[in-house]
Amino acid sequence: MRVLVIEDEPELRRVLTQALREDGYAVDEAADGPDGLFKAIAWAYDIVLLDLMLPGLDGLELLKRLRREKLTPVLVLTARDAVPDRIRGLDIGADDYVVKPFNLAEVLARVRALIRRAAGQGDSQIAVGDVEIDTARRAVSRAGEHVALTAREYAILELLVLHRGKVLTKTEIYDHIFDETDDTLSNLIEVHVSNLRKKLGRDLIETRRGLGYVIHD
Amino acid sequence: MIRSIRVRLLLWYAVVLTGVVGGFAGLLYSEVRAARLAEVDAQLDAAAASLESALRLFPPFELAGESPPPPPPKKSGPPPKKKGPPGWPPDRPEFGPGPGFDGGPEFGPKRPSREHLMASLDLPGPPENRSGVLYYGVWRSDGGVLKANGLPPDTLTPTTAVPGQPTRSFRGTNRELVITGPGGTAILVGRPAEAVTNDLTAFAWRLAGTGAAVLAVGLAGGWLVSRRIFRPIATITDTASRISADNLSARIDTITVDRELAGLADVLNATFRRLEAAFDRQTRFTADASHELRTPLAVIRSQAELTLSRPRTSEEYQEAIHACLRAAIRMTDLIEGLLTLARADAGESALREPVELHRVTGESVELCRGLAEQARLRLTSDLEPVTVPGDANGLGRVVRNLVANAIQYNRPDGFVHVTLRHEGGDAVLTVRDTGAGIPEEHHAHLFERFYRVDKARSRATGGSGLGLAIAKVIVEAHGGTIGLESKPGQGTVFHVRVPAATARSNTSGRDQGAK
Repeated sequence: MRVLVIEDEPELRRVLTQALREDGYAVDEAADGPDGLFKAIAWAYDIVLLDLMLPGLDGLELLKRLRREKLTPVLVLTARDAVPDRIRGLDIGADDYVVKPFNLAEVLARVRALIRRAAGQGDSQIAVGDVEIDTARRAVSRAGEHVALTAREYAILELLVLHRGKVLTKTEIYDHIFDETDDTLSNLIEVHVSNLRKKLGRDLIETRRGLGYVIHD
Repeated sequence: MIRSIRVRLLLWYAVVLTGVVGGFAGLLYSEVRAARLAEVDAQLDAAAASLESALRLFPPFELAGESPPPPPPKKSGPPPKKKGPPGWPPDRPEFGPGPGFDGGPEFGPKRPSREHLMASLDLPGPPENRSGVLYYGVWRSDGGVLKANGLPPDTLTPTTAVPGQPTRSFRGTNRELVITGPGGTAILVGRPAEAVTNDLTAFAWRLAGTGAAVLAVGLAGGWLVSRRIFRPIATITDTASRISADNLSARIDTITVDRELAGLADVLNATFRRLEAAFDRQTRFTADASHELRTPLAVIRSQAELTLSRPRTSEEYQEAIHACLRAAIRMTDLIEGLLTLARADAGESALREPVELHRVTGESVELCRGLAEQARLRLTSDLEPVTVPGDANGLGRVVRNLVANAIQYNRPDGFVHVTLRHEGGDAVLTVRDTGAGIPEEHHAHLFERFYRVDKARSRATGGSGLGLAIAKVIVEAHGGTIGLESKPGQGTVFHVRVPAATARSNTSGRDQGAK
């Protein structure tokens, strides 16, 4: 899952980025409004974390312009906690609202929830055949047996499972799994998929030649 | 004293209206009365004149009440007939006043008979016209009645108030005229004037009724008008009482308010606007302060949570603690700034010790040198010795804030130049930079708390948004002024003007310093 953090306070941006990366997200950063808007429109993020008081372009204005282009889930992080501010933010198109200083675990849970909801998935527990995926704990089991996955393997599995029935191209998978600082080669995805098949069975992930990968419901 | 303006107004209306209506009615009444009496008096005048002219034909003895003189020798001549006084000498054939009245000798023996004279002594016109209307009496000069007709029984011998002048008066409801006739006679003519007085009384009542009606209408109108006048005041009072700290946006509707009250409404609205603006500023300040404090707090909290979420290396722990420390330092600076402002707002007076401003300025500039070198800027100063009474810490802070700003908002390889001059009793400090300049529209707000011309540059450089606000309160606490001149693209000059110490306080300052 790929996340964009738009926050002008460098320390907070660093902390958020680190926390998200430790949770297996691919994280991009933007320090001001124009950069944030550019990235949010240019890339297929699974979620955007947005501070409202931004230099260059106000967070609400950024949100308004982003909404003309994309439906990317947006979690607003702000020190403005007045109810009218929250209402305005939500009305413009924010999907959720967290007031600073926030609980980091709560922010991460909201990020997961927003990503799930955007994929049309209500529950954090997803079962496909005999494979069960717990997106809250980032744990996978097969026929009740815990299966150890690397962060990349888990990320690819989660992406395919959340978009079950939809063929995802390697480029799409790449865009959602790696952030802009990654210079991993795209063919590594094939290695990860091959490892997933070894751990979870050959039939879970189907290859569509020339198109990409898909997990059937 | 009546406390109600409305009642006082109404009383005043009542007094004025009563005066006007009463005066008008009185004038009208007296005019009508005079006209009606003049009619009656004219009738009496005519009657009296007729009686008088009849009396002139009487021989004087008759008028004096004496017995007739012996008849003089007869003279030839036609006896006088009905008309004209008989006994006139032939050369005086005409009627009229004349010397014939003066002397008896001219009267001839053939004078008209007494009966004839008495008959002619009557009112003009046919008897049926005058009977019951006019009455009269003629008195001889000795007081005896010569002739009377319809005279009220208790009539005394009349006299005129001023001899020779006719006297008009009322006796009961009768109007009477008394004149002095020939030979000391008195003529009284009168008539009942009941109809006239009745008419006048009725007229007076009508006037009083009309006046009362006008008064009532006027007072009712006044009451209504005053209600209309005071209703907007009630509305204004209502609106003003609805305006509270929770709802400062209500305004008095000045469109429906009368012109005289519009001024008051405008003044009140302006006051409410200022009040609302002050409250808004306060609310915004609180929100900004809270925002500025929340951000480092969010750093501390999330950094701690992140660090504790799993085991870390000791380098990671160190870096985390450093991040928390940086955030804590930022919060400390911010709180210190807020406290400085709060103290200034509370009116706590700064110290008043002699401050060698050139020394304080020089030290502050040196403190900023590191920053300037980091930013690759030339930092120069040119300081004249000036002593000002004040607070050295505060003034140093002003210099540091201005110089730090000049460094922060400069271009690479630019310069910051600080000067201090002693000008006409003031210490004038200027800080010139080679930054981008500050657009005119920001100048008015630049010294507001948390106001930022461009938010882009503040967060990264760690400014709190309070520097200039703090500088302003400190300078103003020293009785000085702070301002700026800026040309886009050419840089900005901030200038601070603080009253310098006079020669005497300078000396006393040195004395204190020596102790």
